[in-house]
Amino acid sequence: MSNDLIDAAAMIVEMAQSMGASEVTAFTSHGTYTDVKQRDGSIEKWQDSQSRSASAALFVDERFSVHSTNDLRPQALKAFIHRAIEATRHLEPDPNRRLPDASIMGEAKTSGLELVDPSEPKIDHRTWVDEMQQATTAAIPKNLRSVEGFVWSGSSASAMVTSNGFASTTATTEYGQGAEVSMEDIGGKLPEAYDYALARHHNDLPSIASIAESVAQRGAGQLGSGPVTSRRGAMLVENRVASRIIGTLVGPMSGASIFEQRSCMADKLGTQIAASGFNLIDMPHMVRGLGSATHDGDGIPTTQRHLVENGVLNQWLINIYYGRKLERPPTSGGTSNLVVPPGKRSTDEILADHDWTIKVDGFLGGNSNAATGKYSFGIRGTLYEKGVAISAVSEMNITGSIFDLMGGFIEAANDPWMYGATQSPSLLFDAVQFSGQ
Amino acid sequence: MSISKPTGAPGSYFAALGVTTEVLREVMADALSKGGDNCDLYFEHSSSISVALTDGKVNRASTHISLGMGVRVRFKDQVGYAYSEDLSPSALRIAARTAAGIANASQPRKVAVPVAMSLPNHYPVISPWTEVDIQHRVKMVRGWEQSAFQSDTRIQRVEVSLSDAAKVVMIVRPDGRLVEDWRPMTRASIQCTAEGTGPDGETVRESNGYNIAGRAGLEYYDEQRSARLVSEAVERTIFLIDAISPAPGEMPVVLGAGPSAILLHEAIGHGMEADFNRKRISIYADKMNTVIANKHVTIVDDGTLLGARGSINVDDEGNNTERTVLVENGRLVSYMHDEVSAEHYGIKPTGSGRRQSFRHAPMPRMRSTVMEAGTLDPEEIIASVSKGIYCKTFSNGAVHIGGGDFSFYMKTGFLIENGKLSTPIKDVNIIGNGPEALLRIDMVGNDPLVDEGGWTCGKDGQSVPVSQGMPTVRVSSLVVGGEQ
Repeated sequence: MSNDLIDAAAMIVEMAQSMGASEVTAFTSHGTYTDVKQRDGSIEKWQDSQSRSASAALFVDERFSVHSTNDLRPQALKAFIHRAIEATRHLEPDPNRRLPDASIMGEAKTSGLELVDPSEPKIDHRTWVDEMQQATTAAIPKNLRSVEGFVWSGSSASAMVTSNGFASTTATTEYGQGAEVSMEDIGGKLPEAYDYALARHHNDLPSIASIAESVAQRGAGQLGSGPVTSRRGAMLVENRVASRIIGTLVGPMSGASIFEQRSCMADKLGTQIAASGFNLIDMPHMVRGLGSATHDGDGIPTTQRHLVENGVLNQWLINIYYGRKLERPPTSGGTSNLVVPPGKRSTDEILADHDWTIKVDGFLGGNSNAATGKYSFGIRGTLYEKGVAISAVSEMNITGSIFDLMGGFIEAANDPWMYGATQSPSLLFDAVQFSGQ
Repeated sequence: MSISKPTGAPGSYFAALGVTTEVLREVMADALSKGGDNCDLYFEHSSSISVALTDGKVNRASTHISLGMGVRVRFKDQVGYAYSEDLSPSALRIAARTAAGIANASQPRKVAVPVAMSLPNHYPVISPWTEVDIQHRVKMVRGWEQSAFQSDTRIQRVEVSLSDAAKVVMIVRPDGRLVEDWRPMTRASIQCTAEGTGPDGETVRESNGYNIAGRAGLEYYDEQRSARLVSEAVERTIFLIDAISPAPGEMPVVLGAGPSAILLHEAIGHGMEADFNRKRISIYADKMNTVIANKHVTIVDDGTLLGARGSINVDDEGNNTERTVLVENGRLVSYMHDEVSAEHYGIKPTGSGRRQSFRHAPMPRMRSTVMEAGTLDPEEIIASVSKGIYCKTFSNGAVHIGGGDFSFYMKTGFLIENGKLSTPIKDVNIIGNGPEALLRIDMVGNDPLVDEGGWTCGKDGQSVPVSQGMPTVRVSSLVVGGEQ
């Protein structure tokens, strides 16, 4: 498959160049997935997917455009590229749009990322999803309305070829399992709770029993929830949802935001943007990492980057194009595996240390303003006093500045979330503005 | 690169790609070969083009083409789904046999000869995008950029994009129904960055924008709408410079006409999609024919609004779309149904079965969700609040279907003090519980407005275009984010 994808991408590059493109980057991909859901003992949906796609970034007379299609019939593809090149000619020139120098392109040398499960596990999805759903049902003795178990598995492969000689393929596998429950609560409310895990290798998934138990605990924890009085106080963001905070911090670091002058990080490089105990590292070479990659979208070898070091912003996320616009060296425009190093204490120990803490286990809507750093999110979770759970919390907001929030970072727990491209432990912040009653 | 509206008989567009009547019957026979109760074949050919201006140059274009067929097989309440991006008969039949595996009966079902059905046209196009060359798009984008800069000297940067798309879909059913729909869509967006003096005399830089979308051709961008696109983008950005964060807590909230319908979408609409109720996991599952709102509240979900982003001539299961009354004078009278839920409840589908693309199975979705007009003047509603907030524009929302909790993010608004709009406010999340919020809508204005924004609804990993609208309303209490 990898050779086929490389050949197809190379053909697109050749075709586009023969039609007048000065430079070309072509991507091709193929994926196969099976996704099964079972609710209360009966299969609800079974989907088998096989997808393919091709895309091309065209550079024509210093003009730039991107195009994608899944119609890979030779004549259709030829006509598609021809029209794409003609359309590109009518744009305004942008001399910064060109491929990187070939000398800086390539793949990082790693000892093997293990992104494909070599065991090729024989998966019986019907049995797997039944076990997932039944285990969750069995873990909930009361107040249960409905349980949906879900499992999926799949593989994908992609290729990238550029007209200046770069060629690369990537293959991955992915396995996931989880469950969602609806609970029966007072007032006719049916609060939901879920948990899941995904991994590159099937054997890296946690046990079905552990997920079922987690879902059961989360479901019970939703009962009787409501808002508490508005105030400032400590917030422990659970590891699984800490990506919402990390994403709010990282979004304004993009080269596009910086260049377009709509980033609150524009004047923060080299300055303190978080408490000194906070670190954020991009780790593209994590073995079996869900975001691991040997090169970025420009074909530049990836390197580990300490984005925030002891609270200081070390780097923006600058790709080749915005590097030229900003007259700065590129640092890679995206992220791979974002890691917050874990601390030493458990969440229980941390909660016991504080008089009043809301542990947030879910966000509901909300947004942030990248230009100012202001955010406002809906939350749900549990109110703790000196480590004792007092009440389930919902219908509350947190609001403030990302700089104030990160400045109030106190510590990271010792429970890093391993099942996503953002791997953060639970994070404790002080003096967060909660709004409720 | 848009796709022209087919001029041949329904079915001929995909027949030209080799999908003949005989192929359709063979594929459906395969889909029902293991005893499935029913099936649908959904063919789709879509194309889009976008041009964008950044840093003073119209220097980026993108195009996208997608072609394929999805096959759904139903067996009781169960769904088997597969798709093919290759329209050859052999590939289509493999997908059909894969989806057929959801059933395990021995008796295959019969398949009727497909007969084309005619459709209404809820999105007539006067100037098709296929007749608009890229230079004209570049000129439009450039013109909007220049207008934005000329509108206010505090505007520092402007980004503009213009896109148009079209798709041809064909849905074929074993009972012989064959429908073909051509679905255009256009969207324009302006994002501005402005710098000015804030409320405390400090220099403030803010960014905001406006976008509009509809199922229309070039005629959509008439002089009036183009001017509004620019002025709204500029005004919404400048507004933020002076705005503050309100104090947090529970308070009365007046929702301005139009964009505020995100309340309907999140707090009410999703909970009334019938799949959640069929599964008994929606907070509205046990509330049919009960009073759930003030008697002045009537809410409809309408697939027939002329040129609206959420309109469809036929749903993605091949059923007629319609205007569905959900809440009539405060009483819940209908959910939004696809075929699966309609069969479960023993009623006719409401034409609400929608999907993102051929890669996805259909499910009940909103189209244009609107609240009908009340009797009160908006000024009267504002005057009734001694201390609260007035919400003008929003960016996004979310809901927990079962618990009923919802939230929506207010981008711009005002404090209300002693019955008058006072200080501009910005960037706060508002949260509440759907059924409780419905009951707390105690005043409904006489100024209904369907918002022209390019709203997109996400559900179970699928995005579909929707519209929404409402008059000014007062909700007696919601939790407002903010800072002391």
